Amino acid sequence: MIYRKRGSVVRWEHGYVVRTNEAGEAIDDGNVFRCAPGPSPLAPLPVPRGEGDEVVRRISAMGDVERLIVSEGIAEHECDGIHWTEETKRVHVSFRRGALRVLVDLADFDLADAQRAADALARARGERARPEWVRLAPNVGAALLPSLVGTDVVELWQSAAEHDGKGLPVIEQRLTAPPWPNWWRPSYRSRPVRMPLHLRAAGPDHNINYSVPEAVALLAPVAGNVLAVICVDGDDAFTTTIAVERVLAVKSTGRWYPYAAGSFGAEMLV
Amino acid sequence: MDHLFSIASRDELWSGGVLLESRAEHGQARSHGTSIEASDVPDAVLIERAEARMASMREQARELRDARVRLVASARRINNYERDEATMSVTMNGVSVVLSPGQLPPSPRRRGERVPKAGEGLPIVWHNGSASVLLHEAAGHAAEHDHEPLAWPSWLTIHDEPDFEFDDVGAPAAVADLTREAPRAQRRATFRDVPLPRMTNLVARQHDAPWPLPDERIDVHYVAGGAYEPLTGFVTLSIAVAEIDGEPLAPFQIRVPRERIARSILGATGEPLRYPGVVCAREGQELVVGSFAPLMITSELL
Repeated sequence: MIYRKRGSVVRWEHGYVVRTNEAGEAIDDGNVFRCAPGPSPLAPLPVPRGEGDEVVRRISAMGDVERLIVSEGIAEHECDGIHWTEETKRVHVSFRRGALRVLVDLADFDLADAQRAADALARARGERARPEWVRLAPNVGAALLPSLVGTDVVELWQSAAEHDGKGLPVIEQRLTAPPWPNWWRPSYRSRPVRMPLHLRAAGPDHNINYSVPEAVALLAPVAGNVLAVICVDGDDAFTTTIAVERVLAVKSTGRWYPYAAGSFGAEMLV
Repeated sequence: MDHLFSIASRDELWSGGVLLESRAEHGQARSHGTSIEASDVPDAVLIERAEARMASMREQARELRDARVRLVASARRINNYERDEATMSVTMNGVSVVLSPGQLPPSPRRRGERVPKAGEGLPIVWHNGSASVLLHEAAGHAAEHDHEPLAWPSWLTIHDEPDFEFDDVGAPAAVADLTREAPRAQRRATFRDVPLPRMTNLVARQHDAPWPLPDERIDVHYVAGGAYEPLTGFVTLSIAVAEIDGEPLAPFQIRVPRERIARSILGATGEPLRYPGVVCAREGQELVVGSFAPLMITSELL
C-alpha cells in the first residue's frame, strides 16, 4: 500500500513563526514500513495565512502562558487511488499560576474554552476533596473519552467520516472491543494503527445537573480514568482529582477535539 | 540570527534482528529573525553522509536478536558548518541505553522483587555515570528554564560542553555552567522544529570530593528515564537496574524536589564516566545529550 501526502502548515511556537511545505510517501508491505520525502510534481500548496497571529495575541492576553502552539494547515492525501483534502487548525496552550498548570487543546479558533480555563486558574483557591457530583465541561469530557474505550463507564461510538488514515470510510459503530475497523495516521511518517476515531459518548442527557461544580479544564493529561481538573462552583474555583467510574448523564456536542484520534465534546455528570 | 539550516537523517527501528520501520527525512529551514521558512529540499551531500553512517549500525542491529534497536544517523549543515550524529538506542530486558556505533550493550542483569522504601535511610551510589541523569534533570533542565541557582557542593562542577563548533542557529558553541546559567547552544531535531536552548553534553566533575562509601547502600546501575517538572521543581527518575548488597532490586521510582537532590550529594570519586545515553524529549524534540559523571554518593532519595 502506498500513501502520499503533501501539505503546508504555518505554526506559531516559542515566539517563532514556522511555515513548512513538504510532501512524502509511505509504503507498508505488511512487514516493513518505509517513508521518505517525495517531491510532488504539483506546485506547493499555499501556506495558509489565517488568524494565527490574532489567536496568539488573544491567548497571550488571557493569562501567564507557559506554552503555546498554534497551527493552521492544509494537506492533500492519496492512498490506493483515493484522494482527499483536509484543513486543520490546532491550539495547544498551558497557562500557569504558581505550581498549577491548566491545559487546553483545540481544533478550531473558538477560544472560549481557553478563556474559561485561564479565568478559573486566576480564581483557584486551593484543592478540595472530590465533590459528590461534578459536571465535566464538554472539552474535559472529550479529553476523557479515549481513556474510556474498552470500559463500561459510558457508551462510546465511533462517528462516521469520509476518510480514515488509509482513505477508507470511517464507519459509524458502537465501540465494544478491538479490532477497530479504521486506521489512524497522523503523519506520513507514522505507521498507521487501528484506532477508534471521532469518539462520541451516548446516554441519557436529562439528568445533567447544572447546579453542581463544573470541571472546566485539565490540570494534567488524563491518566486512565483519573482526571486532575480545575472546577468552578459559582464564584469559587478549586482543584480536585476525580476517578471517573460512573457517568450518570451525558450530552454530546458537535465540536471536535484533537484528543487521540479525535473525540467530540461530551458534557458529563460524574 | 539569520541562517540556513539543512539536515538529512535516517531513522530505523529493528526488533529481534529484523527491520520493522525505516524513515528517511531531509529538508532545510531558512531563518530570518523569528520567521522560519521550512521545506523538504534535498541535499545530496548530507543524504549520502547520513546513509553512510547506517551500514555498520545495521550490521550490529542484525546481531542483537534479543533487543529492540533504534538507529538514527543524521548529517546537518548550518550555513557552511557541517556535522554528523549517529546513535543506537538499545532496549533489552527493560533497560534502554544509547550507544555510539560499535559500542556493545551492557550484559543483561537479573531483576529482583524487593522495592526499596522511603525511611530505610539507605544512601545511593550512582554507578556507570548514572549520576549524570540525576544532574541532567535537577541542574540541566532547571537551567534550561532559568530557574534559581541552588547551592551545589563546592567540589562539584556541572557543565554543558558542546562537542561541536557551531550550534543549530550558526552561533559559536560555548561551555555553560549549568549550576548558574542556561545551556548556550540552540538545538533542533528537524528542519521543522524551532531552535531552543538545550543541553548538548553534560559533564559533571568532582574536585577533591569526599568519598564516604557506606557499607549499606543502594547501588544504581541504569536508569530507565527521568523527568523535570518546571512548575514544582520535582525530579522523577525511574531506576531500572539497582541492587542492595548484591541483591537485585525491582525497578523503582525516585520523586523529589531538585533542592533535595542538591542537598543529598555526599561525595564522588574518579573521572567522569560516560553514561550510555540520554535521549531527551523536551518540547517534542528528541535530542541525544551526552552524559558524564563520576561515581557519586547521595543520601536517601526515596
